[in-house]
Amino acid sequence: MALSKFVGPEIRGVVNVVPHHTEDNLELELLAPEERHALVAHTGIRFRKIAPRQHSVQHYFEKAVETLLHKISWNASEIDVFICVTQSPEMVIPAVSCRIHGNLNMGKQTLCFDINSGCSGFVYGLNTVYALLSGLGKKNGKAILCCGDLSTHLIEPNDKSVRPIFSDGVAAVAIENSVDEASNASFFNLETDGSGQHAIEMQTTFKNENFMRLNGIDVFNYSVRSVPQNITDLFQFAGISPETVDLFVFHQANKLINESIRKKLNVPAEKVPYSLYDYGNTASASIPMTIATDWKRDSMNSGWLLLSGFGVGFSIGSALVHFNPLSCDGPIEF
Amino acid sequence: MANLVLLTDFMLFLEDELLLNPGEVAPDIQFKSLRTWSSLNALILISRINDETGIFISASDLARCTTVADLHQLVQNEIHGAQ
Repeated sequence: MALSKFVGPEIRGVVNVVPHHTEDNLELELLAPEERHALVAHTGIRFRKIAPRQHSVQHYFEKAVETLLHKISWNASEIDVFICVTQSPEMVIPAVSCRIHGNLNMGKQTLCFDINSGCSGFVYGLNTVYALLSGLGKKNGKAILCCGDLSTHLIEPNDKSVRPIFSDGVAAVAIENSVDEASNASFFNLETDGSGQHAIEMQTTFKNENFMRLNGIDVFNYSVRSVPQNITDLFQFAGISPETVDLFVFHQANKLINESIRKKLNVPAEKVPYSLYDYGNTASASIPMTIATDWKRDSMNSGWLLLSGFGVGFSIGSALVHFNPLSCDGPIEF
Repeated sequence: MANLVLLTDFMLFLEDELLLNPGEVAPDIQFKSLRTWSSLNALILISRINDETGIFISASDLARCTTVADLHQLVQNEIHGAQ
């Protein structure tokens, strides 16, 4: 495991963007009527957002970044670090981050690259941004982290295991290296287990088409076995009591996995928000999506959030961050 | 907490979790041919077994089982292995 601590970087804003079109699992003809109700009850997923085929994740990232910059009154030209986390780029070369950099007229001082990561990708991206900002020569560096996928573009329409779970959506998060000496520290615990590389992977059909396949049982076993320990180690490293945390925001895998993790950690249900019902599993965007749909400034006490993403790889990324942004609103449709 | 040690209790547990009628589960029935068996119900069953016993049944171990009795034996082996 990779435990790390940073003092300075803080989240300033969160924006989520989802497609307008919604699919309802209770009307999914792929499943028998009784299967649909069981699916919603056990996975917690009712609605999923579906992007049209002609849309690309880049356009959703651009919309999210433009909205975010406006909300927190930043200029694109002052961004020092710009990272996109996605597994569904429209094209591999050049990087999505470089294309957006050009379209939004960011400055030449901006460090840009993409990270290929899914379920744990938000926390991996956040860790990378915090490390880069901490190492910058300037004290008040600014970064934007984009994450998310148009996962439905990777799914075989008749796949009963995958289609009812995944949904499209992205997030853009602004992070600034605070010069305030009273700034809170942030803590991370990242780990990988490549023995699970085949549990969620792209596979080629006999028609030479590529689709994402999911071994739900192995993902369940890995997540429920490994995530509670990862989080427990993080609390111990940070010297923070779990009771201090306002919200435990998990990657929105499905309710079966997330509730099993919650129970093993003995966390009260009211501290574990969900966005699954309305937005499904939005891959690396699911943690900021859940924060934005549930976080309310007035209902926070300590301000500490526990974030944990887990899945494809296998990999886990957990973080303890103090959250007091300038702006954090529910998803907007594109 | 469900008792999964006896085969008869395990069959009742399967009936309950897979929303089957009394008598639909028997030791020599191939569990993948059960009326409500699906990839989702397989995941639900594995998560419920974990809830009740703390053990983890892998997809490959499950694939090696054919009948309800095989599945029950697998669960017993994992419970004893974990002790």
